[in-house]
Amino acid sequence: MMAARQKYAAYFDRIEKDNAEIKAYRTISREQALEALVDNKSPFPVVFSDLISTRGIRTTANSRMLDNYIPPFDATVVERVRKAGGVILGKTITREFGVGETENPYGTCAAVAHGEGILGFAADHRGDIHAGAREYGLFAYSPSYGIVSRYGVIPVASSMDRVGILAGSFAKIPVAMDMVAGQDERDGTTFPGDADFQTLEDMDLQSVRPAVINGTAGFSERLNLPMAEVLLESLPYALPAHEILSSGEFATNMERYDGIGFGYRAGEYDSVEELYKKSRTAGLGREVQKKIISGNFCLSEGKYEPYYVQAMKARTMVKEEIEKRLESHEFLLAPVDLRYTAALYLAGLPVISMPFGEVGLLITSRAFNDRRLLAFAWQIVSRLESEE
Amino acid sequence: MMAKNYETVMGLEVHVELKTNTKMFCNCSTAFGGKPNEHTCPVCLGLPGATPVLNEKALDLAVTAGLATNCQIRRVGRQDRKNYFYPDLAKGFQTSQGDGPICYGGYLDIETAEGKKRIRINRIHIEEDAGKLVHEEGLGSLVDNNRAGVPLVEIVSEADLRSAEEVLAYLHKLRAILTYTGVSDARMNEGSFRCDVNLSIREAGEERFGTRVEMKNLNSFRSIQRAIEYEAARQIRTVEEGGELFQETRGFSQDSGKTYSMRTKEDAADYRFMPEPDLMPIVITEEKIRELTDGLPELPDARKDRYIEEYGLGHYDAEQLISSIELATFFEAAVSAGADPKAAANLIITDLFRLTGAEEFQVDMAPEDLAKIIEMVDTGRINLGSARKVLEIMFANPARTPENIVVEENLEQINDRELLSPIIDEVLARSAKAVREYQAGKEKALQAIIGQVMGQTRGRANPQLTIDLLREKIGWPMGPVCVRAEN
Repeated sequence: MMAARQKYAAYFDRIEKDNAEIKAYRTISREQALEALVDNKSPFPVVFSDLISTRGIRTTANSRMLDNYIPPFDATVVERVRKAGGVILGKTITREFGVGETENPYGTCAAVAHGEGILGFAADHRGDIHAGAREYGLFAYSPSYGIVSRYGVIPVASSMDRVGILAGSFAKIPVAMDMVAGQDERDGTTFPGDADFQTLEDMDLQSVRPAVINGTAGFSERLNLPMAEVLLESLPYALPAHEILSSGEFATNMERYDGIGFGYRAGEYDSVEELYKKSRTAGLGREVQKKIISGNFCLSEGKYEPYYVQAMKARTMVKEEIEKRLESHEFLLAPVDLRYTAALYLAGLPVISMPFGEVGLLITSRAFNDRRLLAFAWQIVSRLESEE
Repeated sequence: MMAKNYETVMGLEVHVELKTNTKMFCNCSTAFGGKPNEHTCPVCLGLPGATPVLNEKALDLAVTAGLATNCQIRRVGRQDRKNYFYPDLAKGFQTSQGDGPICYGGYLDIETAEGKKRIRINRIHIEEDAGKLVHEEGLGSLVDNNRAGVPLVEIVSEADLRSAEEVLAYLHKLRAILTYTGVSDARMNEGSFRCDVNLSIREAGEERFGTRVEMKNLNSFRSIQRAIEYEAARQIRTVEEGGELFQETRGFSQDSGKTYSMRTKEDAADYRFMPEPDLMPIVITEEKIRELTDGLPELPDARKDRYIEEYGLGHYDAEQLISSIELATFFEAAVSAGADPKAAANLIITDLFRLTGAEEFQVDMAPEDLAKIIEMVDTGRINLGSARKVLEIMFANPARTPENIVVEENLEQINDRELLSPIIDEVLARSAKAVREYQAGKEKALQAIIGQVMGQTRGRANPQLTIDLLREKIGWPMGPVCVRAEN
């Protein structure tokens, strides 16, 4: 207990000393962490992005709107991580409500890269955590949509939002999955899925016929693994469709921040209309407001069909094409790039990324095939490590 | 110039709270009332990240409502977000259904003056209720979210209704169906049965619809009737005077009896409907439909037919009796306790309705006691007037028995000629004028004399015996009706 206290005190000393420079933490929860060490047989350090609700710890979505918001409940992922012994070091910086201005879009990555053995959980809706992981040299995993509960995750684009896992080593990802994966009766979009991610099967890399998306140059050679190339013709539609759909969902998800029940409320107002306007204008940043406006545009009368419905069709097209490719190739590889992650988030597919030169390496597979994806990734990681 | 002939065209939107124990998307209680915000949690308070999970029972009840009103049931559907700002709407959107209601294309039949009429139901969709604003002196407006997230169905009729009477008949029938099937308590006074009326007028024979006005805040059957009558007259007057009608939403003031404009079409919100991404598609299996169909009780129309056939009741009386499950159950229990069905129907419809108020049938007295009262009338122990008195006393004090009331209140009928005769003589002695009028042919005068006898006996005189004795004593009237002109 004493040793643990000292160890965690050291974490916090370093965090407090460096945070201004690394821009990782929005809220540092030293006191709560020391409390969490009491009667904790297997403590481990963990951070959550500030889009994930933590009971008793301020959760702001990096926004003035929620600057004073302390959730009365834990997100399911937080509850499960705490139960496993997780000691929360703090809440990490995100884009405002996942889309807006920020001092660091990758605060969770910064926190994980900063301290030894820290596990990170970050919510995102487009795969930005993979771009962050590439920048900070980390492993990032976005489980299939529906395997990890979104209960308590501040919604940005609900049909794409996921809780991703960030770690400095591959081995921590299956451990984290065993903590958080599984159906949650409080989130109607979760499903019972695989368990026991830590005993990954052996896999013969050749026989599973992996392929590279759009013939990304050099992957086969650098991995010393002959791979087919598959073309994704619908890929150019992925980001625009993602932008329209996520904006629409974002706009309605943001309607609850009206200054009435919780969050920022303007000081002076003459009518309830004015209360809404002043609170939202002052409480939300410019990028957030822009995304709300473009989302409401796409949902408004006369625009819904040509924009939103078209985007839903594009989403189906992208999803079906990727799924078709995955029928003949269980695993697809690509560089870490928002065009790919946006497409994979539209399709709800699992994504793992790992350090791999300049571009980073991203692997996806069929929905709910998470266990085999991790097994495959583990083979790739071993191969890369043995080469070094 | 002859006034034109106008037709009133109406369609209804009825919001019905479903009879579930917990809310639509969380485990909070749906109990009516309670301390403000007692029945709330992160989900129904709309806290960030609190995701909804659909209450299966609510879905079953909505499908049941559809099956009981002859609707088609959508096998794969979804829920949508309806976006608007209002302080009692915590999430800033109501989870509802847009283009794909769970039930559609049904109907129900009503009794009208011209006989049976079929009213088509366009759709039934599920949605959640909003919270309530409470205005407190000194504190301003406060939000109570106990009602937020209570499951509702909205039942939308086609514009098939043509009069206030038809509207009320439709509402009574709908309410009967919903209470029989356990879909809802359908209590208007608790807001679990709320009705908006879409009303327009057009010249008789015209096929196109007129400009539609939606009337809201109609919280009793009486208000609905008054609002319809006022609004139809207002629209006709406006048109007759060369004015123009606007598509608008109007409220109804119970004090003034008038409707007033709340907002025009220009102010109408764009609800920006979109599929609710936090909820999976609604899938209704054939097995589920079979199960819910098998679970349907005897529906009001079937019961009505039975009353007409088995008990020989008229259509109107039968329709009245089936209007709520409590009432129908009470009636049947009285009949099985030995009451003559027609006599029981009469006492219930003419007297018990007056006591309970027609909107909610709620009595504490035992149906056996009603049967007992009818038996006492049949045996001549009491007359019909006294039966009403017994009923009134029992309604106020259900613990007393009819026997006890008749004895203690001295209500037994005077069937004895020897007892009644001197009383009649006494009345006649001081009613010389009425007797003369009667004898001169004014039949009404007899009623006045009977009234005196009843007054003298505190209503206990046997009415037939009284008439017989009176005619023995003062004869038949000698007025013009009895005079025949000779050829």
